[in-house]
Amino acid sequence: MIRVLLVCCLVLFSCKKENPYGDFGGDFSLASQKGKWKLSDSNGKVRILYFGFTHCPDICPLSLSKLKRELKQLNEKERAQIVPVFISVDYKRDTPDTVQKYAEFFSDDFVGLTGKEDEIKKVTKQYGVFFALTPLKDSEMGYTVDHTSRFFLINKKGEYANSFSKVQGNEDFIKELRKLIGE
Amino acid sequence: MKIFLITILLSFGVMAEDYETNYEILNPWIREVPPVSKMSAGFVKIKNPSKKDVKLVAVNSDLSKTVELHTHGMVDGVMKMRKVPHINVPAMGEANLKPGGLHIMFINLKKKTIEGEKHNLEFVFSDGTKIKKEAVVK
Ligand SMILES: [Cu+2]
Repeated sequence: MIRVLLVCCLVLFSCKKENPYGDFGGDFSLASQKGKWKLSDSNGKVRILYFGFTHCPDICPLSLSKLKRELKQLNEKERAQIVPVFISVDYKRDTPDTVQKYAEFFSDDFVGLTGKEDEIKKVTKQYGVFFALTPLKDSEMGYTVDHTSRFFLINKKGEYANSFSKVQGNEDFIKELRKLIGE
Repeated sequence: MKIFLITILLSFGVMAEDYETNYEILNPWIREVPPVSKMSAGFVKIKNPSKKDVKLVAVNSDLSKTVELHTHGMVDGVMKMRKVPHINVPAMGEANLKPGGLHIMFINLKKKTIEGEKHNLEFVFSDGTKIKKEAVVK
């Protein structure tokens, strides 16, 4: 009997480890304009995460506008299955309200999030995102934020599925999105 | 002696004028950013057909409280922005300020960036040349 139970446990355990990326990614909770935002609360949709900061003059607006443009390839039904999320790692300067307004500029359904230092450190570690608040000598900016520029795709179950550094003109990106929408 | 000095002064004058008309400021533009943003970036191509290297040392504008010269570098997928003291425009060459690289950094915007709107920029070079040019928001 014990042996049977053990086998069952093993089977269950191996089933649970279905996601080939194991612990990479995963659920998190951050601050949005409307209060706490938890990744798993939007399960059933495909999420696209991008980490940046709102004082970013070039790379972040460029990346988000490219994402917006690429998503236009999807039809309305497909597009409705996707939630793009912009996460500011600039926990010192950005507020959930600022990040939401920043993200919304690119599309109404963009979600803008940020959090306290420990929350940002936790989620960036989960997703292998590097960030550093770096003082800029003799600059009015005070400090800048070095950050990984990458799009992370989260499947409908809330698991990490794939990531892309470039989305513009990248057929694989749209192909992967459609695959995840169809799952 | 007097004539000699005058000649030198005149030739300086001519040289300075030469430079001024020489540097080409091509397609300057400013990135449209969300209205909530306090920062934007500007891009331009500068050609220097003269036989002397020159540096872009500053850009003046009413668009923001401060204007700086910056660059970007991608290291292992991490984007790093840094301030630079000047941007070299080599003799018979060009400097290309473009997305993801060198840029004019507008800090603490005084106005919103609206697509199609134009803003005056003044480009200041190490030889004292100043060139005014309109940049479009896009
Ligand atoms: Cu900059």
